[in-house]
Amino acid sequence: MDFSFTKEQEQFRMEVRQFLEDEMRSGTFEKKSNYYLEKSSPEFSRKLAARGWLGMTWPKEYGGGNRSYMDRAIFMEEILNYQPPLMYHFFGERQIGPALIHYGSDEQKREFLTKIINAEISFCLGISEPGAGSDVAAISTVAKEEGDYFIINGQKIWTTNAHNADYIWLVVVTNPGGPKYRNMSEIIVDLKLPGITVRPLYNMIGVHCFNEVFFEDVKVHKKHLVGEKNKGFHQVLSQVDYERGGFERLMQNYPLYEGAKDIIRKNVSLKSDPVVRDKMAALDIELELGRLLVYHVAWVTDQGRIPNREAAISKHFCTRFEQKLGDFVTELLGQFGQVMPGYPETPLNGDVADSYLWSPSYTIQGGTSEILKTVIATRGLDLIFTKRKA
Amino acid sequence: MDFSLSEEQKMFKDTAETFMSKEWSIELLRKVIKDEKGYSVDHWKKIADLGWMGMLIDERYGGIGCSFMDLCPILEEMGRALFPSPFLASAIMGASILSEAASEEMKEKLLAPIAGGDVVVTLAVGETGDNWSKDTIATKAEKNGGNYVLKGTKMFVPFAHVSDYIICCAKDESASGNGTTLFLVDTRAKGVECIPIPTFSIDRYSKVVFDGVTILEENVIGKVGSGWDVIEKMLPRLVVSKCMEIVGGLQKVLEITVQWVKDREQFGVPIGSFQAIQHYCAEMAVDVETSKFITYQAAWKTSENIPCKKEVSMAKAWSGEAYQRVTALALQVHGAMGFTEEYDLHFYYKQAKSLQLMYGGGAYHRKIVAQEMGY
Repeated sequence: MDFSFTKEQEQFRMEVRQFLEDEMRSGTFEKKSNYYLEKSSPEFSRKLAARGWLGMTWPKEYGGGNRSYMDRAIFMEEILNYQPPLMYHFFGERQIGPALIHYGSDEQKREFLTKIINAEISFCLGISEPGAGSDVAAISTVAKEEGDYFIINGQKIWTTNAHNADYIWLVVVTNPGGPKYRNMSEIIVDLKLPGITVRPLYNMIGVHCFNEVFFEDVKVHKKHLVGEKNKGFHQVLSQVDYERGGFERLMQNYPLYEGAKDIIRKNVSLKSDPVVRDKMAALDIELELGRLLVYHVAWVTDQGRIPNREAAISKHFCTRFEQKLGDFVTELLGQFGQVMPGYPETPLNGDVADSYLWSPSYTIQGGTSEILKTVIATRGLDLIFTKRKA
Repeated sequence: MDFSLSEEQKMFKDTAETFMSKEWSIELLRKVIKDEKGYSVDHWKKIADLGWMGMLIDERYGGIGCSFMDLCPILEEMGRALFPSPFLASAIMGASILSEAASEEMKEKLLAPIAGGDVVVTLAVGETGDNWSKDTIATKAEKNGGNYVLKGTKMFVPFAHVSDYIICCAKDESASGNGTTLFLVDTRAKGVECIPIPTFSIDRYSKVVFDGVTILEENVIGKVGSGWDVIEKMLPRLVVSKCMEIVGGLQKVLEITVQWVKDREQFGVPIGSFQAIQHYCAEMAVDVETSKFITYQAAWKTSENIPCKKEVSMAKAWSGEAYQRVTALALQVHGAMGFTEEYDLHFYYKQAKSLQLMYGGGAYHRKIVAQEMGY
């Protein structure tokens, strides 16, 4: 075992940190919790692309850096410390590129991979529907075959970034009435196509991040089908393992964490309060545990294994940490814990209230904690998955 | 980063695993804990023959001279198998402290016999039943001519009743700055009394009374007045060793529980098919995995001599409480069967609490973490 980083990795970390520090100082972005996902900036994404920091883990033949997932984890740890805007390239780079590399046709690879890696196009993910949350296979958006085309009808919901994205990675039913889990496919759809309506949904913070997306007789060429027809469910399952285990599950509120540490350090009565000290130390321990879990997922991936159980453990643990953090810091600030950003006397620029309000979403999105625990139990511990009503 | 064991560590782990599965069993544990000695002398000799007791001792003194990290997989297996012995006291703390601070003569006299399992050494520091601190040491060493006279009482000294020597940390008024000094005490010396403390741990602890014990000057370990420095330097090894035992035990408890829920049927199906049970098991798996990583990180840093006061305390705070949580949950999942004497689980439940309490519980180690955070 070895818990150190190589010299090259340490240098890389410093390089990323220096870049982010310079960008922040020059006013490109503001260091604020959750901003990495709330904000979208093609210009900033292209700056990362120019440095070869998008598609770091992708093979060289697709323009990738052929680097380890460990390197990418180091990169993300630094990124989340600064929270620059990543939304523009985030989904494309994190999971759509890798999924295309795995399942895409040569034509799809040619068409999309270079553009994703150069931050020329933006993606969103169309999986959840009003009737299909944890039960992904319950989707009802249908793609009916008509010659060389699919005609798509239905609705997606909680679609983050749909209002800014160029394409939606859509999961649809291609065999209506066919057996559950073997009737779905993945397809790339241009959001500018006629028949698509994107309607904003505001979350409880009042921020517009996710949307509803409606499809009415949307005509998509069959060449945009990704992988095998009717094998979409299994493709989705293998993709979510890569989505769950990253630092974005642990450090979305890292500026808040640093801020809270600082507030305690500067306030004698808080600093000498044994309860505060105990809770802060407990959080510090859990942050370190989360960090080890995330690096473990990266290491497992670098070993050529799919981080299934590992990613589920990591996301479940890390998101719980983030919720505890929000709850703790609101209490730390007393009545100021509820004050929204913008009010001049608000400590930490109102980050606290924001983070607290964001935090319930962490254990819901990308697999609820309950689903994750079922994954750990059934796929990690080999307990029987109880078949539910098909 | 590399989360896998080295080839050598894997070999030690395999050896330990094989030894524990072939030579040791819970049935033997049941016998041993009723025995006056509290450990199996037969198995003690066998693990000495395997070279385990000399792993932290230099080759010059009859040891093997391995790194602390190499020893960790063995400790993990001991924790998993519930193998009580003075191993931690003698082969880790005794050997480490003597190697670090003892005179050449003392090393030559003691280290080879420790490596061979012929001499058992233990460590007496705490007096209050609370966590170790320099300030709570009241045992006094009074200078009397060239010698010292030791007076005081130590609590929870591991396996003192079967030890040949006790390394005793005492307040030494002759030392400058009213420091502490380490003394090597022969347990047969006049004035030494070991009184067993009845605990529910699988390990034996004693109250040791030093009632005017005469100690020759040559039996001072290290520099006069620097006793606590030596203890503090070696403390990470002790704490991490306990964490390794915890990690081994945690994995075993999860395995026992998963097997149980697969076998046990209620309402016509294995209870492991119920989501409530599955989610308990998942939470247990999270505790196992996190405890393992934080402990191995602390072990690695300790072994590499990287300052790691904070990481060691993180490991103990977390894994100690995790072991308690996991064993309590395991009992719940087992129903009444887990509460019986005949089923094995209660040994783990008891040992988890004991390991949590020894050398600092969660609150204590979180205090250290807070200090290390600059508070």
